[in-house]
Amino acid sequence: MALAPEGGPAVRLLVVDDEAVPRLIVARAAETLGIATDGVATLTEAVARVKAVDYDVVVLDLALREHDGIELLRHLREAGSQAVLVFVSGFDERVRQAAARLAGALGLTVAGTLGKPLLVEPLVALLRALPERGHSKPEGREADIDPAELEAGIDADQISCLFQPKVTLRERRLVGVEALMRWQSPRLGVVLPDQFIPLAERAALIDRLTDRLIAEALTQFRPWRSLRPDLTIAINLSPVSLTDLSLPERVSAMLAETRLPASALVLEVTEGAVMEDYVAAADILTRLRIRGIRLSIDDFGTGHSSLLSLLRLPFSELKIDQRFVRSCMQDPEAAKIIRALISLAWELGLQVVAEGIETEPVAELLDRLGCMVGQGYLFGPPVSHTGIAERLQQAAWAEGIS
Amino acid sequence: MKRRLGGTTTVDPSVLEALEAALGAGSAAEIVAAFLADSPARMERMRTLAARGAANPLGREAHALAGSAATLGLTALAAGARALEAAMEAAPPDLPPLLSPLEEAAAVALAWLQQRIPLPAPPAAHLPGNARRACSFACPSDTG
Repeated sequence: MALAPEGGPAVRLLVVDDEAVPRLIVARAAETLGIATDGVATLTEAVARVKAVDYDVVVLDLALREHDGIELLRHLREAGSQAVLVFVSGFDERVRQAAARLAGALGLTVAGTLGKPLLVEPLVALLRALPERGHSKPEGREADIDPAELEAGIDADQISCLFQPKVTLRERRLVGVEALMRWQSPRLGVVLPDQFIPLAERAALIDRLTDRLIAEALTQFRPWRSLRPDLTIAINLSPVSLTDLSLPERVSAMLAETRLPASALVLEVTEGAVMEDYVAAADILTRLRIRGIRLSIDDFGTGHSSLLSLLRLPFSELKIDQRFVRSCMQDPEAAKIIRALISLAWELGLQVVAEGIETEPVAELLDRLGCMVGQGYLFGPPVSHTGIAERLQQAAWAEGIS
Repeated sequence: MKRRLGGTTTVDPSVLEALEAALGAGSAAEIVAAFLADSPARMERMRTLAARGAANPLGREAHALAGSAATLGLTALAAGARALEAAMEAAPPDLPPLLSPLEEAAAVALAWLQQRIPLPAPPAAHLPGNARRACSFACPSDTG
């Protein structure tokens, strides 16, 4: 069904909804702004459209009859689409927010979410305020970076590692660090992972980057294990790395080279990553776990198939997403969800780590809820190798005299 | 012709009025016509699913109907569809009887729509002009 008026205006919108009413409302509302609209009712048609046309905006109903609209996100990413997304759904705000977060994890830009009944005014307001694609994307400067520049940066050792402490909530004892990448670019200054990882994934540089990160993090971590034999190091894996079947061997080799036991290493994986290519991810994660490497499910509770992933994959740690942690003081429901997640983790024998702890009352609440380990600015921002080494030496000294 | 069921409002006319005000009477009529055109097939699908005992797909149909009905101000129909959707989550054994209240609400709602917008107008002859005037979003040919 082509709803585009003749004359071919510049902006193209695709609305995916199995109901004619919202499809037509979006089309007519978009027309009042001079936006040409195509409307489709099924995922199959939508996939065919996004392969054929480079849309600027995709308005997506999350609850299509036969599929969930989430599946289209993967196809948009595969098609390299730069389209800005608007979610429409009769589900509550929480579901729409979770979908938005998943889209973000896939590198897609979400302009906003609308509930049902679909009202024209908020829809028009949203379409009017759409970010121009490729410019005001939240990933910031990603669009300006040439893959060759990143590759040269990797070769020139411009990628370095920072470490953020993980502590026990009760004793505030340092039990682990999470390694985070920074790119010190001569032209751009310090570039954060959100800004160069998606580029590395698209430019097939992610394996080199991951190997570099693991090798460097393990090397720096090695001496800390002598001071604190139960200390762990956590490293984030890109979803793309979970399609690379040689990863377990490479990780084992790097552990052997630094003479570290597999149990010292925690690999963090986001939920979205697992659903990308389930078979390959399950293969890789299971082989890593068999080798003794610990696996952490990151941002837990914000994605699509959390419980199924927990059931089927050999995770050893669950990280509660910082969104729940940040709102747990104001929102009693967030606190209830955290309590339920902790109880779930206990039942499954998983360690629980709460991310994004910024204040003392939040740390105390999480401790009361049964969470043992936390991470966040309250316990320290990401710091260089020296920062962690000093902290460990001070702790060793304090423990030595007590 | 306007009716009430069990004391609750069956329709909220202001919703359709707001739609007409925002998009024009022609577009609103087109949208109503599309809803009316889909309705017999939708009801037939729901009856078939109910007869097959397919609670999940029936729940999804009800979810979709609830959204569209609410968007047109068909209050009672939307409420009935939401109730059916909620009932399907428990996967009850005997589905067809659960459909009857919805069929009744649908009959009332469709009759009201047909009376409110008697003849589906041809799709919006005035719209292209509107589209040009109201263009404020990346239309270089218009602004430049």
